[in-house]
Amino acid sequence: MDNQPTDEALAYTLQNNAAPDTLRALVERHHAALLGFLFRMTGGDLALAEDLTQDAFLRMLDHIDQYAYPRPFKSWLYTIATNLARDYFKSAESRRTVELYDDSASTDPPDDDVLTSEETAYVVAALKRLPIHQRETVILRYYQELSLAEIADALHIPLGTVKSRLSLGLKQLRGELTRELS
Amino acid sequence: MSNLANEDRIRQLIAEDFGDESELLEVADALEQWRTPESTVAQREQVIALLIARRIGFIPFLQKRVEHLLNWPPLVVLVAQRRVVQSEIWLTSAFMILIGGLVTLLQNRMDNVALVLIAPIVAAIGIAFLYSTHAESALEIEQTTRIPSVILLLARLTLVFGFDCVLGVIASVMVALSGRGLAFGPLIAAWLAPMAFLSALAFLTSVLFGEPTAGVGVSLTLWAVQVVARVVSFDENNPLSRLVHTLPDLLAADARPGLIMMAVCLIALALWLSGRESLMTRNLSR
Repeated sequence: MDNQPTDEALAYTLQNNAAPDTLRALVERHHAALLGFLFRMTGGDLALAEDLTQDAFLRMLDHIDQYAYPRPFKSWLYTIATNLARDYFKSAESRRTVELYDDSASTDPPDDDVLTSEETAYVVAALKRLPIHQRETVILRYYQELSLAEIADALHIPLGTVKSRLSLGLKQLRGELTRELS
Repeated sequence: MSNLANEDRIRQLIAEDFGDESELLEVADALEQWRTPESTVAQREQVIALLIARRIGFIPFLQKRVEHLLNWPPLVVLVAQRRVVQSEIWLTSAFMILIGGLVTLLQNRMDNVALVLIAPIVAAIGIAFLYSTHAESALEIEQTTRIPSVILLLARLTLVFGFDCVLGVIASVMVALSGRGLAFGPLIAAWLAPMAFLSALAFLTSVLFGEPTAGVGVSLTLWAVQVVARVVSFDENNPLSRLVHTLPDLLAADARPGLIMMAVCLIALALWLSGRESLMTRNLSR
């Protein structure tokens, strides 16, 4: 029988005592998932994803008093990560260093280790061209494997909106990939 | 770097969302090409070290909530105004209402309960002293603060009336527990409505005349007549007796809803008038 405390129990404990063991347990459980999510949100920029992952955990600790037990902790953590990614894109857009909503956006190849084929580069580029709200929904569902309800909770949107964003996102991806590969 | 555990996982999820026949399944193979990065021990240790360093400034949830509550603006105003209210008001109110409670405990007959006769006038006198145009100890502070003087006055009113209510409740609990046949609820109802009305009347009179003694005089006179009408046995043919008995009985149970409503109206009127007075004071001081 698994006697490990749940994420929610750890977060609840953290609200009154930021013990190193509690922090370690939460990082060990969620670091890989958050890194993967932010890696894909940033279009494969591993260094940036690492920085954002650190920021996400720091923000989690700073705002732990806002966590409302027993809300699923995973959804809450993804809310933080999604907001961080959006903030980053917003500030990057305002600095005009990257243009994420533009079709002519930079599609610099991601980390070489991650790319195994030209097809992967097309996937990355196609995902980058999705509007951010569709991109985050597609990534949360198909790469992070969150349930539709968890996504709705993380993004504070109705379940129907999650489904429509997924449908529109996948349709646009299919169009982009067909065009790229042909 | 590693692939997802299950190569067909994305296909399964798309099928789950849109059905086995969906044309959107075509995207699955492409999406599965993009591997996910591995989380290394070094990365995790770095995050943990950062979090442990950050927790030095960590404030526990309960402490944060208490600090948040203490900094709640209405509470800050109330605490600040507590210092402005003359200390005599607190002491006299406490002393008089508790005396009322003790006298009630010693009473033989329960037709005129001392607490019910004392509590309203004690509160009214205290509240009459909350406003005065020329003896306003806090006037200078009020003229330099960004908070409207009406709000500050309302805060003081809430404090003193609330304080008197708490004292009245404590005395009522004492009486109710003493087993003298007086229930807690009816006892509170008996003094609360007259207390609210008499306090509001005293406050309005003070504001109208700019003088606390005016508020004290009016409320004291009105209440004295009420008490005399109840306590003293007049000759029925005496014209004074007839006059006293033509006045409405403020201690009657059926008068309570009307008294509360009138109290609210009188307070609103007094605050409105005090706001105008305050504007005039500011303009004159410029």
